[in-house]
Amino acid sequence: MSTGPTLRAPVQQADRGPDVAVRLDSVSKVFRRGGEVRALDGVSLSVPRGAFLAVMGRSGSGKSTLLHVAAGLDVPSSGSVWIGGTEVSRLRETPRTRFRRDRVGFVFQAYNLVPSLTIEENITLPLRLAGANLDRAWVGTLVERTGLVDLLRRLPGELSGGQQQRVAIARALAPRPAVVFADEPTGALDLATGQGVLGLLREMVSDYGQTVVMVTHDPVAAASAHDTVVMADGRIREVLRAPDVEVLADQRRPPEPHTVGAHR
Amino acid sequence: MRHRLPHRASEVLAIVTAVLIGSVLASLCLVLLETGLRSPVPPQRLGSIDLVVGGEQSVPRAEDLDIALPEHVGVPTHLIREVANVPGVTAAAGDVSFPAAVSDGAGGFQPAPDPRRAGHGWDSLLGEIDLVGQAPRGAHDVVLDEMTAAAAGVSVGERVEVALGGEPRTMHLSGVVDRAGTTDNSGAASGVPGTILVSDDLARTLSPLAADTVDLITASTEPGSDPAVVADRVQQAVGPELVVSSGADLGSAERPAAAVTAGMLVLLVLSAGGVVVLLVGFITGGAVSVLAANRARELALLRAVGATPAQVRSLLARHASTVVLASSATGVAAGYGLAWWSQDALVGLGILVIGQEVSWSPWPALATVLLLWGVMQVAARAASWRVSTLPATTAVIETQSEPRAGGPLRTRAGAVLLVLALGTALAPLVTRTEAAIIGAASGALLAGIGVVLAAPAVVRRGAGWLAPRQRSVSGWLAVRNSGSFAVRTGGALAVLAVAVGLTVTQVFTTTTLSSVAAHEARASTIATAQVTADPVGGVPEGLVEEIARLPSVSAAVPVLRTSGVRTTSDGTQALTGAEPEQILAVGPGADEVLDLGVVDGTLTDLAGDTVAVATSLGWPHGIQVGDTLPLALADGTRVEPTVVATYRHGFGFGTVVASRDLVPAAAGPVDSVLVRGEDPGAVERDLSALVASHPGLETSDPLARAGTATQDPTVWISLGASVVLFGYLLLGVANRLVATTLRRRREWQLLESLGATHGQLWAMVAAETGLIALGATAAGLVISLVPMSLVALGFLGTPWPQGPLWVVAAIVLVVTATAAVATLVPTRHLLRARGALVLP
Repeated sequence: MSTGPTLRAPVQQADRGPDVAVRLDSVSKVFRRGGEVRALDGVSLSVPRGAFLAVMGRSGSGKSTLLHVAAGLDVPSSGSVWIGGTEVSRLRETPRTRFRRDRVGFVFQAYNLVPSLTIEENITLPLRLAGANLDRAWVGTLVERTGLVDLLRRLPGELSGGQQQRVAIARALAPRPAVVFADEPTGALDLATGQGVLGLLREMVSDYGQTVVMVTHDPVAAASAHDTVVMADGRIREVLRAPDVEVLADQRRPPEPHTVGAHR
Repeated sequence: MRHRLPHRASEVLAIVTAVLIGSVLASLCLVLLETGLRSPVPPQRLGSIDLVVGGEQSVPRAEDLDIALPEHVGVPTHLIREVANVPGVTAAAGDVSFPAAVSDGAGGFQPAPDPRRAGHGWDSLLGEIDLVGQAPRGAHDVVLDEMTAAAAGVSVGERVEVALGGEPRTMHLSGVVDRAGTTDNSGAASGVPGTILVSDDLARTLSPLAADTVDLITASTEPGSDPAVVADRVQQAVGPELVVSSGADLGSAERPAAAVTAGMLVLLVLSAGGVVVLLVGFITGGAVSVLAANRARELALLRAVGATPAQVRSLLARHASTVVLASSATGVAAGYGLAWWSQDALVGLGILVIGQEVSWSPWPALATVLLLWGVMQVAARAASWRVSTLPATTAVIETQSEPRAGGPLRTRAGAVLLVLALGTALAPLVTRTEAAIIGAASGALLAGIGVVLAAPAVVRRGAGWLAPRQRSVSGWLAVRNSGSFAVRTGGALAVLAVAVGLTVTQVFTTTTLSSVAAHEARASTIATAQVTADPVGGVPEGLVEEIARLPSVSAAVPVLRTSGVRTTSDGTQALTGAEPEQILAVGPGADEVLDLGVVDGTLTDLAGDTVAVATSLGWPHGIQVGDTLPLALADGTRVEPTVVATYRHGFGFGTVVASRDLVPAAAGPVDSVLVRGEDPGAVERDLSALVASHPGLETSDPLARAGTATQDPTVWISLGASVVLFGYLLLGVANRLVATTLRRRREWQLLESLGATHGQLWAMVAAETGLIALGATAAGLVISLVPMSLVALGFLGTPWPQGPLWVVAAIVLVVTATAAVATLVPTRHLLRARGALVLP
């Protein structure tokens, strides 16, 4: 049951079409930690293939939970989550891990590179874990597009934040996932470096048709995406199509004047 | 700023266990140290005597503690009269001892702690004892204590079978003393068993001492006189060379051997104490550094909000020290309990004399708590040093990853230590001395430190070599992790290696030494039988000749075991660094029953003032045939024998073999008679017949008492101590492994988010643990078995270590199990605690 506003393509709620990369169907997530918190409240959403979707919202709006549930990192309390043609919300832990490993890529705010492995080993780690064959041509292309050719033998600690995030993007894309989830990918970067990273993500969408779902609180980052879903109180409050920065900035404005948006 | 960190159960548990066990060990050591230094020796027979005059029972030693003499130095007999004439002294008598034993009523003799000195003259008690019946007057009268008389099944007026001077006799029990001399009101020490009193005339004839010497002079003072004043007068009368004792000092005057064993206890505790303090520092320090690593981010954030580096350090120090007080108090209580419990065991091992008790005072407790508090303060400050001194902004970022590898300086220092250790391990190939074995063993400690220093670099290299050879991604990740966090991996590996290495070394040093001793004893004993008479205090002189006259016997050589210390040529003091040497005093014809592996000279010259010296003593000190060897014997007698031979088999028979003429105490019964004959069967038959007609006599294989190393009680104590320390070390490693494993939650969440299954994570952790256990076992066995093999090669000619292999297997098993439990249990805990897989 959808609670958000009805939308048209490209981003729609609960579209069942074949070109849908990710679909959430009346998804709720309830945390019981010293009282019941309804982090997601009957969210329905579908992300078409090749879309670059931003998810915005204040802290506590449920945007991070949406990402975790949509990516199969966490299971919903009710409702179903589909990635491609698979209902991931019904998979048990191990098959869900396998599915995620094969079909889902992640980019995190903190880069989350394995510090003991070289850049090259970091990029190919998901493939190794999956026991999949290395598509050398594709990885080579990725390395080139992300500008990491000269850094492959380095360790993550020796790289700048922007470079590390490029490694993370290359790693997320290496297994050719159905969808890449990015959680505040520019949160730890300065404006210029962040723009570079967003540009890279956008290129991957436009040049290779990669589906990307990105959670952000930054209107500038969200403006790089095609569409933006605005979350509040565990629900989708609004979907904005190719909005400009001013519109997005308005979305961030707090309802009460004295509330300051908390950052990570 | 009085910021507090919240306590976390796992961290607190690690520190508490480290402190608890550390304080148990430290307080136990300190209590025993105090006991060795201060525990009074309770008087037995002489408890009711007012004053005792004895000799100076120690030999001074340059730059070291005096050497205590185990036997009475003796007092000139003529001084008895002079002591008696001192105003305030009512009576004085000489005290001599002789070998004596009382029948157990069943054909044998009652066991006694020291039958060799169990008999005494009646007069020495000066009548100050509760006697039922008559004092011994005639040559056939004897007085026993109640327990002994009861055990023999006799009462006053009856006949009693005894052995005096080794000879069985039938005596008349003229009286019974009910308290064997102790008149203290508590009555706790009443009934010291084995008191055998005869008339002074008889005692004098039975004593091996010359007539002009007595062991002690006892004196009683006038009632109401000031004992201290009388003691001063007595001191003036006898001169400064002699020692006047009263009150609490009576016991040590009565039993000089107690001072020797007390010194042994002090040495034992000091040698173990160093290691204990080291380990306490090491393990509590380890627990705190884990705490500091866990809290690095919090501490860094505190720095970021304005705490000074010193504030951050003292915050952690305070945090860690809060647990010290309670847990060390508990540990101290347990340590005291353990000391109380070990009292009987120490008496049983001969470390404390009978009746001697552990000293109790609050100082060990106070010192232990202070020690642990100090260790904790230093460790906490050292552990937080780095994070506290970084610029505040760097600190927050730096704490995200661990330090990675040891610097080249560290690695080089480790390599140097390993080479040095190998050098000490080669020593036994060059010199056959006990010092060489001990040196090789200490080399293992050196090597252990070397392993600790070099481990990170070796781990890194090894991982670099192994990584491309891994088939599974889990194995590959495990190797890459181990190599990248080389300091973390190397640290755990090295400590486990040290635990393995030191324990194996300790065990194998002991077994190798006794194996060498047994080997040499076997190789050099050509006697076919041995006659002993331990229950009655020795084989009497007359029997030696009787044995020699047996038709089947070709040689019968009396043997006495004693000790002596090398002195300067004027005999005034012991040589620097000299320790008491075992002396085997043998009668003429020693070369017919012993083949000591003579290198130079000949044993046939061993008569009069002569000795033979083991090369292990002679070689390092340049002692050669023809030299004189000044010695202070066990009773302080200074002798200057000529060295007539040097021999190889010093481990089997002690470092000095002396002519029996050299040792005055040898005038009495001997410890054993080594017998040889062409036909061992005939010898055995003849000896059996002899033994049957002489109660107290025993015949045995001549090797039965050969190995001296295994009889040393300190061996068992140090083995026990090393097992305890091994456990403590493992506890420290386990703490560290648990903590570092629990800290890897984030790393595993990351791997999971990248698609690693639980199975892959399990396999990875298991492989890492396996690598650590394997590496630790290999390194530990190399640093212990290489030197022990070289010792075996040097001494026995066999290139493999002498010792029980099951010990090695058990140690490896325990180490592997510890590593496995300490990583896999927290791993299970982490993997089970599955909430949302959320990464920051």
